[in-house]
Amino acid sequence: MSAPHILAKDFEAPGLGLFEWKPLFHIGPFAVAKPIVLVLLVMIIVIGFFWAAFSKPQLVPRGWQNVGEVAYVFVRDEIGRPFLGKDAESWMRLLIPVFFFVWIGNLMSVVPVAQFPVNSRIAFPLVLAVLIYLTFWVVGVKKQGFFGLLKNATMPPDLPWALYIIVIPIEFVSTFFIRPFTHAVRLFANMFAGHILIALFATVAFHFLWEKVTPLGFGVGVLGVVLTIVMTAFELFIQAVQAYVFTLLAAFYISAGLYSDH
Amino acid sequence: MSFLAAATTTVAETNINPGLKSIGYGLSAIGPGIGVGIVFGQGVNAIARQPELTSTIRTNMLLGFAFSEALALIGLVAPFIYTS
Amino acid sequence: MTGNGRLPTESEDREFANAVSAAPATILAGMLVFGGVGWLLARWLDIQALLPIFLVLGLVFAGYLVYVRYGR
Repeated sequence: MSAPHILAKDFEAPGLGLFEWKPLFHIGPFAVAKPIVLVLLVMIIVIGFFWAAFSKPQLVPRGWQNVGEVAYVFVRDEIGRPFLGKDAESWMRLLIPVFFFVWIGNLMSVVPVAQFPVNSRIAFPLVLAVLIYLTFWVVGVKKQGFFGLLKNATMPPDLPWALYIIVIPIEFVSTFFIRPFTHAVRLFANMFAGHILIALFATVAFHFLWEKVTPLGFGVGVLGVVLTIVMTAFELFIQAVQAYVFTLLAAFYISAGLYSDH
Repeated sequence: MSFLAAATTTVAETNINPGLKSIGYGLSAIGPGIGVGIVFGQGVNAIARQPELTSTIRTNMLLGFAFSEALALIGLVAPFIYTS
Repeated sequence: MTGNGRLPTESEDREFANAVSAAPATILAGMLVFGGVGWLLARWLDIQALLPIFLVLGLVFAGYLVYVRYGR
């Protein structure tokens, strides 16, 4: 029995059980648990914020409208304009809810009572990615025709014709299967891993400083507290970056349907 | 749920191969990670020195990145090869 | 893609952003497609070595595709 074994005999590391919740109440046959309550809260926050900012817009902004304008201009100029060009304004009605839903959903990981990132259940990023994917299809078919979309996405120009037999399945799988998959999984994996890390360090701190205080374990507990704080700060950064990247790729995939660049 | 209890009772029967595969992939991702960092870091450095050559530098950055990333993807696929 | 002498235009920026995300996706897709074909062939012909061979073939073809499409 080595020293770490003796030290950590009762320690239970958090595992996948972190992401399963018992239902709080039932609406008919539908069980409502914490993730759903958090998602509804995020929806209320996002809708409420933009309602307060833009319901009575004035030429010289006052109060909430200031913050709302900063948010809107950020998404339009950094994410919309580079990819969607002149039509960026008409796509804001999709990109702004996506950006703020993802970001505030991620922020729920560090808010005290909530403490669960909404996007760490695969369903929520998956639905968003499927929504963007369907938008890409619909816009692409409308703008380029069904066969035009397939042709522009899978066939690069100026190749000897024999190579096309090899190239077309590769490009097809890459554009139509791998893109939505990585779009959803990137957000999900980041939030999943971040949640497990913060929970692990917090559990370490709690176990070694409160449940089973030993002189040797005290140092480990203090380390756990410090690392929890560091990981929370890092998670705040990663949440914003992942929301930005998700919306950026959404705008990019939609622009791939709109503008064929061959 | 207590992973230490599970580990100490059935040492003879547990299969550590999936764990080893994960560790192997994690270690093999160090190289391409550093490689991609070097490629893009030097590329950005070069663009900062001579902005008018951005196109050429970007082309070469992309090629370097694709080949460095290919190694990471080979590492991802390798466990499936070695089982067969 | 030699637009040297001036700063990159917006469409060239878009092309680059396109290429950065498409390069690893293409390589992965190539390995998937050819790996799938190789795995099916290995099961059919009972030669276990076909799977890695086709995976490497897929890698090579996808690499060539990235070069042809984005590298010139």
